[in-house]
Amino acid sequence: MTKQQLIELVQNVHLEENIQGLLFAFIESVPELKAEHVDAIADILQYQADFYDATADLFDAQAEECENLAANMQTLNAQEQTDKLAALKTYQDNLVAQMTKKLDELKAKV
Amino acid sequence: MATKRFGDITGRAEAEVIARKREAMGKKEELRQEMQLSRREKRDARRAVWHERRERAMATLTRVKDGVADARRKVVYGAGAVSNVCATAKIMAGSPEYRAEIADYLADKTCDGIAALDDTWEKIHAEYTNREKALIDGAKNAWREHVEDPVNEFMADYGSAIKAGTALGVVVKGAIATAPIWAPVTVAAIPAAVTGIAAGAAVGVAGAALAGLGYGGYKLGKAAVTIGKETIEGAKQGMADLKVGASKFRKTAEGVVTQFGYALGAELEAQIANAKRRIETGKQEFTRVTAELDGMINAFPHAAKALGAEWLAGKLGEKATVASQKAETTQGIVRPALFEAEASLENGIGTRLLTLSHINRVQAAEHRAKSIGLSNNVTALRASAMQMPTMIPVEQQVQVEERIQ
Repeated sequence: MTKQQLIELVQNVHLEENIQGLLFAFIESVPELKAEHVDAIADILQYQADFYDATADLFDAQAEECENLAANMQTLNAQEQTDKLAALKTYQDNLVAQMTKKLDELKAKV
Repeated sequence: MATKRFGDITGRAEAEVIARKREAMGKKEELRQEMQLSRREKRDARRAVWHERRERAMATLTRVKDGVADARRKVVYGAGAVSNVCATAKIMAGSPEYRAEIADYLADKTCDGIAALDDTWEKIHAEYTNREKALIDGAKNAWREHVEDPVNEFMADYGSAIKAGTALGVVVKGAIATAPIWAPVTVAAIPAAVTGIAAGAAVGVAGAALAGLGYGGYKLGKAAVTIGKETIEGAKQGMADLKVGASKFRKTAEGVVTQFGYALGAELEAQIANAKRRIETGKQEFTRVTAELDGMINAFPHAAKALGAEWLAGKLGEKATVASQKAETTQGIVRPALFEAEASLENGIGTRLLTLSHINRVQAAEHRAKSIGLSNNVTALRASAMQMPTMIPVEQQVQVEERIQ
């Protein structure tokens, strides 16, 4: 595999923009592409894949929570509805925080 | 991105609810201020009407008090005038030393007094009864008939008698004074006549005539003396008779005046007593009317307050009924609308939650697809890496690992 092929691959996969920029810089900095370099990029892509899996789980969990809320809305009074909506917002905030943390960890590994 | 959209939707919903609550509270406050202003204006108008009525009542009371006080002053003044006339009449009737002068005095003063009395009573009692007017007129006429006219006539006759007596006295006095003169002259003539008779026959008839003349003179002289004496006595008697007549007439006049003076005094006292009774009655009536008016004026604010409270209670009751009906109507309208709004809100929230859930599911699917795509590329990269040269030969790596082990 040549550097050009590797660059095209990185361009075509779904990556966060900053990670993609780091990978381009990394590939450009390597004088001769070796197997270790390709393995390292494969590792990074695997991290990104794991991150997407994790976020997909979080989105699914959030969707389930919304569905539960919608199903139970008729039985909840105004205060309970407010509390539930507030809890949902907190959950959403935590999700964003987790995603940010994952990305930071990925950056550190790269 | 989905998280941000969810936050915006929730925030807008909360803002809309707060804005609607503020709008509803603003309208309610505006309505409350309008009702408060309307109540204040009505209350001020009612107070102005009560104040005007009270002022009018006070002005009426003041006019009534002033009128009664003025009438009272006039009655007191009239009573004082009557009392003065009565006292004067009593003094004149009861004092003998003034009775001789009573004619002139009463002719001038009492007529004025009666006129003043009549005028005063007519002014004070405009509605005076005919009987009382007739009584006063009768008194005036009786006074003129029994006192004023006889006294004037007496004074005229008395003055003429005095004048006639004075003239006759002068004549009598002259006769008396000249009688001694006349008598000696007459007596002196007698010897002359005797001498004439005795002196001469020659004188004859002349002498006789002279003697006769002398005798005649003597007789004439005596007769003159007698006449003079009789004249003097007659004059004296005439004077005595005139004095007696004057005394009798004076006593008669005094009796009439005294009797009428007492009668007039009694009548005036009765009139004064009557006037006093009327004054007392007027005072009592005035006190009663004043107390009644004061009571009405004092009671007026309470009555006005009671009426105002009653009116206000009625109005409040009407307003309460209308408000209750409006509340029921509003409740009938608002409650279904509220239920509908609640249901709509629940449906809206449920719909939004389901939409959000759908978005999350889509995003989860996208992320899983990305993960799968990345994993496929990772596999391809690792396959390529197996075929690429390494930075350290594989054999060396194995040897190094074996030595380490």
